[in-house]
Amino acid sequence: MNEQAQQVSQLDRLVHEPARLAILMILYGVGEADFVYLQREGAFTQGNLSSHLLKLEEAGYVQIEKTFKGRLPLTLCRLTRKGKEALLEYSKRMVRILQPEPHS
Amino acid sequence: MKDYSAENSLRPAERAASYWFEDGLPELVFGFALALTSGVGLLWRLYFPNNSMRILTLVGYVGLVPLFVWDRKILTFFKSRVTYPRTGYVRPPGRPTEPPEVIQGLKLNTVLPAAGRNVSTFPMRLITLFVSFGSPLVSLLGGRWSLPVAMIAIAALFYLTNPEEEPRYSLWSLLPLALSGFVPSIIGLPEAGRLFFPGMLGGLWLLVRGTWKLVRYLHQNPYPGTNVTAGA
Repeated sequence: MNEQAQQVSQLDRLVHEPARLAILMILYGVGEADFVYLQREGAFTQGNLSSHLLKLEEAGYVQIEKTFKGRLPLTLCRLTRKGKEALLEYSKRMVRILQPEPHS
Repeated sequence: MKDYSAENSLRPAERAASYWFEDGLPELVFGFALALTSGVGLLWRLYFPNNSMRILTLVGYVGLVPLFVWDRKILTFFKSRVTYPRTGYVRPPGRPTEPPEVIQGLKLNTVLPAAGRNVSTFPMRLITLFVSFGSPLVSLLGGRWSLPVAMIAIAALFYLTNPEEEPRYSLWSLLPLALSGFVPSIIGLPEAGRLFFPGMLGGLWLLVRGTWKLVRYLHQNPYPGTNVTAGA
């Protein structure tokens, strides 16, 4: 099997999905954000974001916490260490896959 | 839902940093404190010109201490009522705790804003600059042209030290600040009150800027109702 094709097949499918990748990238960049912010920044529908967050939470990539900021109840989302490692591993693989061949 | 992500090409961390200032509340809170403190000082000097400046300065600094210590708490109080229900919460900007990840020479495009951005402390630097440099500069120079010179120097300092930061001080936003030093001379403000004029102008400038941003923000983001906890 072609090495590059093999690399592609080994990509983490949970991260590879565009919406979930966007969520992970946003959370990696900002540390923590609530549901409304993620929905707005990623232009997700409520149901779409909920289902993707649920999958990421089940995989242990994202931690979801119901909390308060002042008096306002918030659904806070944070990237876990496992989620960060998964995102970085995915990025490394993608870089390897997309890296051009050196000229001989 | 409107696609806000298409409106800007900033990286997530940079976007989150600029989001902190989107509602104008930081400018309003710091502007109010600065204008109030300087305004009290100005009136004090005008009506009690013989009182000790040291006591007044001490009172001024004590008045600003809560702002330095609890600025995040004060802003969170307002933001949890105005901003978070409308457009959501994201961690306020700060210094990155980890170095950016570099993968085979490529910096991952989501990493935290550059440490030098220092976006969260700009109002404090503004206050410190006004209080520390503005007043002594006016005292040192003395005379009719001291305040115009001080204000031009402060505006130039802002422009030179913040060219790449968020929110960016543009030349056009600093020009009124530079020219405002001429106002006391035009209105004939007594010499005793001029020391506090830079601080008061700075506070008013932030108040105007913050109010304009807040009105625009509220207009663009109406209150969504009670459905703020929906989600996962």
